Amino acid sequence: MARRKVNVLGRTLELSNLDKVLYPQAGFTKAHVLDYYRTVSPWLLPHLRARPLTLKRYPDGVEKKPFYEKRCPSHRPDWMATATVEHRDGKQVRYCSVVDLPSLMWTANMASLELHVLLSRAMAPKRPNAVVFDLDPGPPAGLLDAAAIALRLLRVLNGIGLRVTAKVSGGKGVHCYVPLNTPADFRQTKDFARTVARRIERHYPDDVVSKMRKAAREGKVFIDWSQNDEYKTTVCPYSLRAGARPTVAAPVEWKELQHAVDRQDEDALRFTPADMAERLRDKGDLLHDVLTLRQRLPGAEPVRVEGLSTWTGEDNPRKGDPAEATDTDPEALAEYRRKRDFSGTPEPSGEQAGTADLVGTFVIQKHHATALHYDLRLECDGVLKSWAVPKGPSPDPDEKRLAVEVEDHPLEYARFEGRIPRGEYGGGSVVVWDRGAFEVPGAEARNDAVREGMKEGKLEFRLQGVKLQGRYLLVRTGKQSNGKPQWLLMKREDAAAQASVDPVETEPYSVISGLWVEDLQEAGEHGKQTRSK
Amino acid sequence: MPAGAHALWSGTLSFGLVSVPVAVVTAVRSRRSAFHKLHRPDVSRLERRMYCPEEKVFVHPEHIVRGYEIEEGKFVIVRDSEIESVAPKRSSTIEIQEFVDSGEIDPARYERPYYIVPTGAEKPYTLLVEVLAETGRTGIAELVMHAREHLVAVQSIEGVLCLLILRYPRQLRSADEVTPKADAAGQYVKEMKAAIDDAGKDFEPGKLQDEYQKRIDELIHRKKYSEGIVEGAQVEEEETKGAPAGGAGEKAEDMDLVAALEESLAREKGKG
Repeated sequence: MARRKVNVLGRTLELSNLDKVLYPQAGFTKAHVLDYYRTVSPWLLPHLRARPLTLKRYPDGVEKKPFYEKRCPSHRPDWMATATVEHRDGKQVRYCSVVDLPSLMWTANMASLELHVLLSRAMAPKRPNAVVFDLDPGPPAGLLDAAAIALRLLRVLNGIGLRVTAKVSGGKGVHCYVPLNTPADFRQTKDFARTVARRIERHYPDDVVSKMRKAAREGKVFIDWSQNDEYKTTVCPYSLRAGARPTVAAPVEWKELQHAVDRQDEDALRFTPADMAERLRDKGDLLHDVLTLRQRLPGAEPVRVEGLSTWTGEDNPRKGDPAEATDTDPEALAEYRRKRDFSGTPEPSGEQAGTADLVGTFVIQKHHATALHYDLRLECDGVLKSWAVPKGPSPDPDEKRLAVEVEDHPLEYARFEGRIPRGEYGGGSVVVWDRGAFEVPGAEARNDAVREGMKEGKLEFRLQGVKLQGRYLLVRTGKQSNGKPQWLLMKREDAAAQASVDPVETEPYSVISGLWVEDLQEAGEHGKQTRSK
Repeated sequence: MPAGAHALWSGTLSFGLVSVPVAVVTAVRSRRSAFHKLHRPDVSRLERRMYCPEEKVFVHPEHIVRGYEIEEGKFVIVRDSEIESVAPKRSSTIEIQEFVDSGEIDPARYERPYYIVPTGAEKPYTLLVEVLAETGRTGIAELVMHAREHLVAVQSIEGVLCLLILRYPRQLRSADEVTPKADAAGQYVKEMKAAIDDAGKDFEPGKLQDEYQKRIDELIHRKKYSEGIVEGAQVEEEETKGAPAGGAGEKAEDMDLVAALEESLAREKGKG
């Protein structure tokens, strides 16, 4: 009976049993769950996006047994992204991977109340973005004891120059994150976490335990360092928890933890779904540092940025349709080629080989050249129509961003990331910041519509990217003094429009390698030093 | 073979037409109460690791090679397989080539004693034991053991055959290097001989005790009751398999990190 077809950002979703009560004590239904996840999605998605995800499903509510679903069910929609991770035994596990609102609504509809994610993203499964300490009190110790130890951990790590953020688990625990966002591997993060946990245990043996044995935990706070593992999941920030009543794995300020400990007020550290909207509006994402702060583990050897696996093919269905390919004007790339010396730059010269799956592609490259900027490119007639957007795209319809039209780029440029040597045209580092398919709403033939829109100076398109979704509008406003046509890029009102979180700021990584432009810059500088020896 | 003795070599011992299947076991027992090095706070047993002071990392065995120093800081790298290719072939017999008077062998030549034990027929073995004891002779043979050629002496001691590895002449410094130049003054020789005769005893090695070892044993016994036994740290139940190639092993702690943490913890404690 209770099935409803809805359209979310161009994806059709069939929602079922919306009035089913999943938290009987609170009368909290599946509709409430969906509503909660939709409300927090601007803050949740940057943490959840493109991570291998284990679903913890409660189809019959929190009072019945849940089941974990590690492998993404085969009945998933064809637009659902996945993340394939090779496990220790050599087996490939294909996890679900939420990248956008439709996929988040799909997992919520599956009654996956809890979202458990790996510490790495799908495009770089061996690269943890943070170190996590899971502080788990053994009864009779409780949440406030965990909070007190978290504060101690904070001061100790601050003392060695690291910034730390925290969330409550939504149960009795506190999770502390040391943001990294620099190349590191799980051996380093685990060694670091173990060393820290052991040292604290040594100094506070009455309060802290770092050993796995359950028996040793009674009345102490277990600092679980072992979660820093390629194959272990941690509950995602802002995930619901399946207690008797709905709670949230909510990021907290250190002063909130301190106040709660000072007043012995455990309730101050419990957050319900209803609390979150206001809390997020007031405080923003308290785990912002986990997404954006680059820190290095003391003493850790630098990890090579090469060889991190890439997220392509089957796992990411956001790509164009080769059937729509059209002929390319042989002169289209003349200016592109004239500006570049292909013996000096690693950029593609435009042989257009193996580009069939790039038809209908959009790409946004983050380019750290003389000045940092973003390049928006839309495929049309076998080349990439390109705009340089200094501040990058915004999901806020009130934000209009300058976009300067530049020469067409070859189609294979959509795959390009790396370092362009200094002295070459556009010298600096480039990563593929977002990529996916685009369409022109209402148009029968995309190529015609793009050509027409560029002539008219008004082009609307809808993105199905990893980070960006929904409708955007480009409007030509005139010419720059150097003769380059100048446009404005703005978001149109739809379900992906929001003014709370700017993905340009919160999600700097490449969607094909997980790399940051800073990784490439540093690797380049390092490489140069080696050569000059 | 005696229980617990582990055969280091097995083959045949032969002399002329006599051929006896035997095994070689060590005759030396390690001194008891070997101490283990432990980490004081958690009583975990420490491991030895190879450390590269240049890159400040522990080195995985895979990344260790052998180098022969040609001159200061200059090496020829030799692979294990190359060393093996020139190693002597393991011998399957201890062939006694000659017999000498036992007293002729300079005691400084003896290295480490082993027992030769029969692994088959015992009669020819016993025959050899008795004859060597009666004649006071020592058999000299060559033997490859532990990938080395050894010159060995076979002696009959207390009813068994002993195998004593002999040092090659080049392994011993010449006594000339340390021989004093003065002659013994004739008139005292007689006096000293008499004094020695007075102090003469039969050799009874059992009477000698390792007093130091005894005191250590007593100390341990005492502490066991006065201070109790501490339990060593357990290896983590759940742990990753296979140390990754290169770099620090699983449990290695970065000492700079530890030092920084300890300072930070001290400050934290200082705040009360």
